[in-house]
Amino acid sequence: MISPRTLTSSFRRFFGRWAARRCPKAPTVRLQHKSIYVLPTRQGLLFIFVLAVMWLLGTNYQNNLVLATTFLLLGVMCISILHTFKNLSGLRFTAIGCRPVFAGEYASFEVLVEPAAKSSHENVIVSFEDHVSLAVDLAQGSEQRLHLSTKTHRRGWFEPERLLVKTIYPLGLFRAWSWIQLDMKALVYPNPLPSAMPPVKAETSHQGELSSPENNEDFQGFSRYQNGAPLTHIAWKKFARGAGLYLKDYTGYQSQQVWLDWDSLTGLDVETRLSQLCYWAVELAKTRSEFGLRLPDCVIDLGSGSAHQEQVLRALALYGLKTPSVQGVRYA
Amino acid sequence: MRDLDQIPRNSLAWLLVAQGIILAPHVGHAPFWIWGIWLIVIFWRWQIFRGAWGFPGQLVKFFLVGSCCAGLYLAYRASFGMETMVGLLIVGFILKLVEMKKRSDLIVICHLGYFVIATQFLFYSNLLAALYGIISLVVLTATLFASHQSLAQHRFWRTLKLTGILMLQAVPLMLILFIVAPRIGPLWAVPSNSAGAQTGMSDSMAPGDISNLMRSNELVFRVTFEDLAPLQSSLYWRGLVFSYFDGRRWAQSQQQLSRADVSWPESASPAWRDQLQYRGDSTDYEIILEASGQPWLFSLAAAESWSHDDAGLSRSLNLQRKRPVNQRIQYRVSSFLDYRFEADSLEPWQRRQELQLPANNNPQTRRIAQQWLAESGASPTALVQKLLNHFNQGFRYTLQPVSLGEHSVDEFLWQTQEGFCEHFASSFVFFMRAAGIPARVVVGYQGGKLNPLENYFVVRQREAHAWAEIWLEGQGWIRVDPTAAVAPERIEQGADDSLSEEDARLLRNGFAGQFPLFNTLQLRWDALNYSWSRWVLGYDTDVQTGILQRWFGGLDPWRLVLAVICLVALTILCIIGVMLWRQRKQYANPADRYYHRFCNKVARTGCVRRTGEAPRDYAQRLAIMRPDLATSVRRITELYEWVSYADNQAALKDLKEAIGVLKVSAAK
Repeated sequence: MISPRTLTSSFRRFFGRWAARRCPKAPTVRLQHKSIYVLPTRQGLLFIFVLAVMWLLGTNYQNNLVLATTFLLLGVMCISILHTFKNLSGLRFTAIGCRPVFAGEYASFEVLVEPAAKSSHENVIVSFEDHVSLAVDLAQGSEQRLHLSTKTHRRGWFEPERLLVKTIYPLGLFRAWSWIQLDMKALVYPNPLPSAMPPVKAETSHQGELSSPENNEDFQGFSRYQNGAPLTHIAWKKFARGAGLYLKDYTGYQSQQVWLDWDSLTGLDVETRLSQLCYWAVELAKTRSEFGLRLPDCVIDLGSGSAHQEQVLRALALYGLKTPSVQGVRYA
Repeated sequence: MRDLDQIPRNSLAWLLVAQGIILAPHVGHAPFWIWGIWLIVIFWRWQIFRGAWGFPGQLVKFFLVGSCCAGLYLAYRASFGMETMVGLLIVGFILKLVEMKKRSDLIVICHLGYFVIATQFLFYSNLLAALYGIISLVVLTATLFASHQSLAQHRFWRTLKLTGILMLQAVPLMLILFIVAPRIGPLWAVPSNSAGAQTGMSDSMAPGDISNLMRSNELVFRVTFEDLAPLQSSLYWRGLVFSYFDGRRWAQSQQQLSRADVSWPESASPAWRDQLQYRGDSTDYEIILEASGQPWLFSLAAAESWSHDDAGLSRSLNLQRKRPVNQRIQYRVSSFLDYRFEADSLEPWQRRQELQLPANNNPQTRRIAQQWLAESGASPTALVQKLLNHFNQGFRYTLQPVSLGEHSVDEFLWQTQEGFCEHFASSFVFFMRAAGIPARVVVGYQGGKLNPLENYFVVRQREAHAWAEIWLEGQGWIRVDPTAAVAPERIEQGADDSLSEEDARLLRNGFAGQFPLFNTLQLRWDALNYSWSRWVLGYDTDVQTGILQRWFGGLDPWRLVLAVICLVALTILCIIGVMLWRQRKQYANPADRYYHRFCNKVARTGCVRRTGEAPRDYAQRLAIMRPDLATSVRRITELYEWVSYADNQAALKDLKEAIGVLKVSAAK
């Protein structure tokens, strides 16, 4: 027995695939007639009903002015199809990109929207399907950058769902919409998972004494001032006594070398391991330690700085993934 | 980010304005308390907007709706008519305002509003009403429009302008549909508008009725003659025939009221129609009759055929309809001014009816009638002449006669000797009946004012008239107008010229007539309204058939469907064309246009210009791929560079020519 619900949903899937074929994935998409669909809204259907009753009124009373009103409104309705269509037609969407996020956070995709030549667009509603939508007004010759958020779940490459662009401007009688697939993806790092001890193998650590970075503010002694040292680390009391500029030395600021090691996390599953490694990579990057990463299939040498951090996190995000992971249904 | 289903405050303002404009025409007929409720609802809405009050609860809503319905029931208890229907609609339109929470509610109100706009045309349908209706439609559509705009984009004039464009684009479609859409007759009987014009001729006539009517300048009907118009003096627009007299008031007899003998177009024509002989040529004319609330139609005697399916010819030779005329109607009549009717004999009941007189009343007239009949040798014609001569001696035609007592005919004929057409007609018929000659009173309108701009006659209430008909053996019914004996100018030139200075002053309302410019404007305005009534309001199946026949050469359904599809498609294509034209690609430099054409031409070789490729690079690539084209490609590129970068206008011509001459065969 096929229930109507499965029937509609399978029809929706079929229509979705069909629509996707008509508008393939591209970095820039321009809405054209072949990918814009127009159907009356519920209000539009109600309006047709009102017009039918109005026609009956005019016919029964043989009143030509009532009939003329009916015909004028019918004309307005027909013309509004064109205006609704035109409000989407020619819009250009360009994927700009998305900052990497940690799994479970919202990825914010930046999309540039430009109006068609010599026309303006009003109240165009853009959203990832079933997500919070944005209403866009575009004056002639202007452009807008939209930040469209969608929730991520797993690490790896995240490709957002297709983008739904719709409008019911100008009269709400018709709804024009289009699905577009912009060629954009976000890198999703593993969800950082705190753990008590850093995943470090004792023999591989160059400094076995290193305690957890929680203690990294432990005061160790003084060292001579060097140019560029942060002012907060200057021993002002010593300076006040006329002893000259000294720096308070903290463990954390000592140059350390830490290897985050996959093998040190035994007995855990892959994702937990990656999550813990991720947590420590982030924490270590907050200090100035040099750290490296050892994964079964790659090794990243010791380093520091944001570029290094990104490299490490990327390796964690993409560990073991052959193909980009895609959230949801894949359409093309 | 904003809530997409909220009601923008600008569209709320638009809605209130639109509601005011839409409801204004209904002030005349809707019960007054509705406006009180409207004010309360607006105040409530304002408090909701301010956040001071909440939305009404179920109980309050129920109470509001219930009391409004009860109020409507009390107001229209007598009958469920059109006003009740419109009243309910207005109540819904008003009360929904306080219930409106989301944008979709606002849209529902707008839809209701469209319907209320349509109903205003059931009450008013002249040119001004149509213009007013257009304003209402634009404002209401602007409301709908504003509710789909963001606040940032909404500016009063911009929204109004965009709405105007939208509606103007819809006008061609409206015209096509208006002309082509088939007019089906009423599908079921609908409650009618009882608020139609109630002034005008009533179904009886007492002294003073018609002179009161004359004070009104109201339009009754307009007539267009197909050929030459008959003389003013023969334009007797027959309305009603009165055969019953109660001593003061003339009315229709039972037989006339019963409509037993009416000759309806759908039924077989009754026997009496054989006694109606038409002579000479017919006079064809078209009448646009304003709403009168009465069932009778006006025509010249004797009507032979008429276009109105609902109308029939009574035995008194007046046209009447089954239903009252509650809105303006249009009909064509073919009349023969020369006719003979019931020439040979009257049936006994008829004779009784046309000789009926109330007992014991006006004894002097009865006596003199008998006496004069004897004096004129029992010849009815001589008697008529004698009475008309009597009228001609010292009778005064005035709008303000002294009032008459119990024996009104006696007093008028032998004492006061001043009166208006109803006095003359009434006493004439009384006199004739007293002398044994069958006679009756006919009321209607006489004459009409020609509007030379559109060549039609306007008949107003002031043209109201009453005259007499007598029956003579061998001649049948003959019209006698005793007024013509007293005031011949009334019949020949119209009511205005027949009156004394004093009476004329009484009739003249305001400053009209004192300024020639005003008169001209009035004529023009009336001519405009006439064309409006004739071509827009009177556009019916007959007119439609004529027009369609002329335009499409036939009335087959396929022709019409094809025509509609073609016309609609043409309109939509035009609009799309304009839209595309406005978005067309524009070149900063004319040379770019030619170069683009060149690129398209050369692309046939299979070597397409890449995005961002410089013309010179492209030329080089082309030259390698197609050595045979190398020279011309190089020359064109050079010319293009000359025009674009050195602004050499002479090269532009050469460039155009070179590209035109260029022959490119497809890739080998």
